[in-house]
Amino acid sequence: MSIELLFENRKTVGRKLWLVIKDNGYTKSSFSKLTGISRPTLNKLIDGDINNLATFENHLQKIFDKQIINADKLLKYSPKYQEKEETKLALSDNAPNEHSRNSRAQKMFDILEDIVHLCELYQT
Amino acid sequence: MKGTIDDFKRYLSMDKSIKICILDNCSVEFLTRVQNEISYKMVFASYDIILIPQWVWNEVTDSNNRVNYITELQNALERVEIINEQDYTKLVDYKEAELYYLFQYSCDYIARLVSFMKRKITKNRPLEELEPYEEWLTTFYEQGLDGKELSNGRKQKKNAGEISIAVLSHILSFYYTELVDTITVFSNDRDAYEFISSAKRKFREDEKFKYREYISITFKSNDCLIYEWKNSGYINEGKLDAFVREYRQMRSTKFTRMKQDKSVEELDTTIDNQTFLEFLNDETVHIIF
Repeated sequence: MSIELLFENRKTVGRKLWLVIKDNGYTKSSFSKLTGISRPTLNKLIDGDINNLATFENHLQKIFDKQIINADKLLKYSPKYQEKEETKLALSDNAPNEHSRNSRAQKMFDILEDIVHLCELYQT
Repeated sequence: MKGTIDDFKRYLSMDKSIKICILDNCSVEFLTRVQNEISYKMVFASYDIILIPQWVWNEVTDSNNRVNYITELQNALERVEIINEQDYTKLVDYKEAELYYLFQYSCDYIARLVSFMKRKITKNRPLEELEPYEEWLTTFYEQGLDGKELSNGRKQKKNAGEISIAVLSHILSFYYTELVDTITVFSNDRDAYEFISSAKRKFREDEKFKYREYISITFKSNDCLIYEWKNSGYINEGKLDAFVREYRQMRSTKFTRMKQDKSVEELDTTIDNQTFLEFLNDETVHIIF
């Protein structure tokens, strides 16, 4: 696969790269550490926002060098796993910074938290 | 640790069937107490390398006897490595989202810890957006685990050692299948057993892990060790009674027993020393933990 073709399809390459990162268990931060691509540049690569061919090639090469995926497979990559619907849990704590709850209130909150977690376990 | 984590990875890749022992603090204490009768050669002859996670090592260092035992072991066996939890990311080749799951599933035994991880570490974000591992690991151990300051000034963290052992054993189990033959955890702490066992159930439910090849993680509690030493002839039959009474306490023991129709029942109950001595001579009993 030529680098020019990948560059022409850089938006798709970015989306595929994001899938590669997810499927292989990396975080953006760890992928950045592994490949030596900075976090802001990695974000641009994922968003398909690198508009200079040489820069694009330079960064993609760092990924190919680590043998995570090769140029031929990147554009054709399809996700390994189905997106799992995670339970969304929203918590709000608007107490002042220095506020500490009394032990009875804290105990109640701890119990509530355990109940929320149990609900989550049984739901999945 | 004598070498770096990269040296350790190189060592793992040199052989194809490495037998690994992971040591918990309570087992080191037990081995220290019995060392006049059971030498470390008898205990560790089957293993190529002995690993101690850093948090366990911190607990070991509360006792000079335990430190001396490990130091002697290091001098005699060469391959005794203390593994810093910060280096776990290198052991999984920077797959830090997966590493997060190894921690979360290892904590599944304690609902409060899972809640903590979701609130303070993932914060409802996709895992791919996690902060660097070093940062969230520090948050987890410093804020997630209950702690107290010991008289020697060390900050003790509840379950830190067991969680470090559980995660390390799962890393070796999933990421080094071609290279490792045996992963045995030496621990007499029921929490260590439960952390690893409950994580295994979670891995079986997660499609990212459930189809993967893995190496089984086995355990040797103090009871298992006594059983092994008795069968190997390391403890003289005539001294068995005194040995058990000296070094063993009544504890909850997990074991199987073969019934008359050859079916096997699983039991988990408190066993006193007298019953344990009977177990040692009962071929229908097999101690699990």
